[in-house]
Amino acid sequence: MKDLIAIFVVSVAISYFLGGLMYSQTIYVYEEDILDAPKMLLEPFSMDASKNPNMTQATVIVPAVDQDGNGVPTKLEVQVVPGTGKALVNIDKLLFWVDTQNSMRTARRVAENVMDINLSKTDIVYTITANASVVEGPSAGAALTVATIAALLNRELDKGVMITGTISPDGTIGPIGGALEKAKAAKSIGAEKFLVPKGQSVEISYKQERKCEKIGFADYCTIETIPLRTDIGDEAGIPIVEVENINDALKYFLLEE
Amino acid sequence: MDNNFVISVLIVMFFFAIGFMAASLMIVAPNNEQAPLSLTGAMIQQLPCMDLTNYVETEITVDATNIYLRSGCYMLAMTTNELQTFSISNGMNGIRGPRPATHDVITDLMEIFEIEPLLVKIESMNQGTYFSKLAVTQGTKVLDMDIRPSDAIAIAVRTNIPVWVNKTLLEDNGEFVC
Repeated sequence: MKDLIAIFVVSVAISYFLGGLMYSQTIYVYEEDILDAPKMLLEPFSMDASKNPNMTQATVIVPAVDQDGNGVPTKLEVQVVPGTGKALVNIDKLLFWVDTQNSMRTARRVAENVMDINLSKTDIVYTITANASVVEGPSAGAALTVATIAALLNRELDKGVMITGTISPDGTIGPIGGALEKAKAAKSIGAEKFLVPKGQSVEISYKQERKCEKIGFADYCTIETIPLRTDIGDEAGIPIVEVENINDALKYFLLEE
Repeated sequence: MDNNFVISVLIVMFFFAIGFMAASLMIVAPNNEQAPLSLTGAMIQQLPCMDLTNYVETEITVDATNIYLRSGCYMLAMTTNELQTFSISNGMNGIRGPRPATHDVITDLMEIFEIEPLLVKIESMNQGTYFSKLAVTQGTKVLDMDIRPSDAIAIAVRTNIPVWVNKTLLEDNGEFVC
């Protein structure tokens, strides 16, 4: 009988002990996760590199042309932080059209392929700063990819080099419009070298030419469309380099370590 | 004043006037004879736009986005947009929509203002883009103008003028279909 009472008392004591532990653990988890939740959510997304030793970043300037034809700098910032494989877009000051967002997604994929790494535990945050409220177009794709790779490598980029061009999933840099205006814009905001997609260092524009002459009794007129070839480097006064893919571009951007 | 003197002066002036009028007619008459109101077929054939050396006449067919020009065993395919092929197809079948389409308006203007289309020539291709000319005439004026092949063909099928293609262009870029 005494043994049974002893076993009962010990069992009750153990149950109380375990129950108390579980209760205290529950309270502990509750307090840490719920009461401090806002603080926890904010900290990983801090854009201040000094507060986040695990974050690396890169910045590249892309020349854009405003509605008055003036060159304006557009700053692309790419931050790499530990995460769950997300491509994040900072819409604090600017909104983005789908084509620009798609360029960011492609830039991330190309960076993954070029560097042969897995970004499933890395978040990449894209921030664009420009004197505009909405950014559209895919022509910053190559620059976004260069900046993504530089941020992942934690390498500094040559500030004297600027680039324009779209990016394809296989890393090819594709054609853009207004290469001459962008080259002039690049020069006006301090570029020393401007990278353009293959075949776009020369711009072909068309001019209509009308001629009339007398042939026998006929007033014979012709209207021809004449292609005009403009060397963008000569016209904008800046060295132009054609690049076919992202590896070509990186040779000009990445500074020696 | 002596009457004989006055009469002599008048006679001299009369002959001067006759001579002047005759001389004027001699200057003007040849031009009036040579300047026609419109060019004859023989005159038009002498013009540079009618030089068809190394050109072949083609038959036209279209599908949703392509225009096919066939001559003999070669067929050239030119890609364009659906609006253009739809317009060409309508022109070939004599169909006019409830509202006037652009190519119908152009051919109406040509007809009313007596602008006669002569021919279409597909001349060359550069980086995938084909270049063509449409020649038209009105009176003694002739215009040989640069035009997109799809527009030229849309006008050609409405006005029943031939579409010629440079033979070398056709053989180099066309498909052998025999």
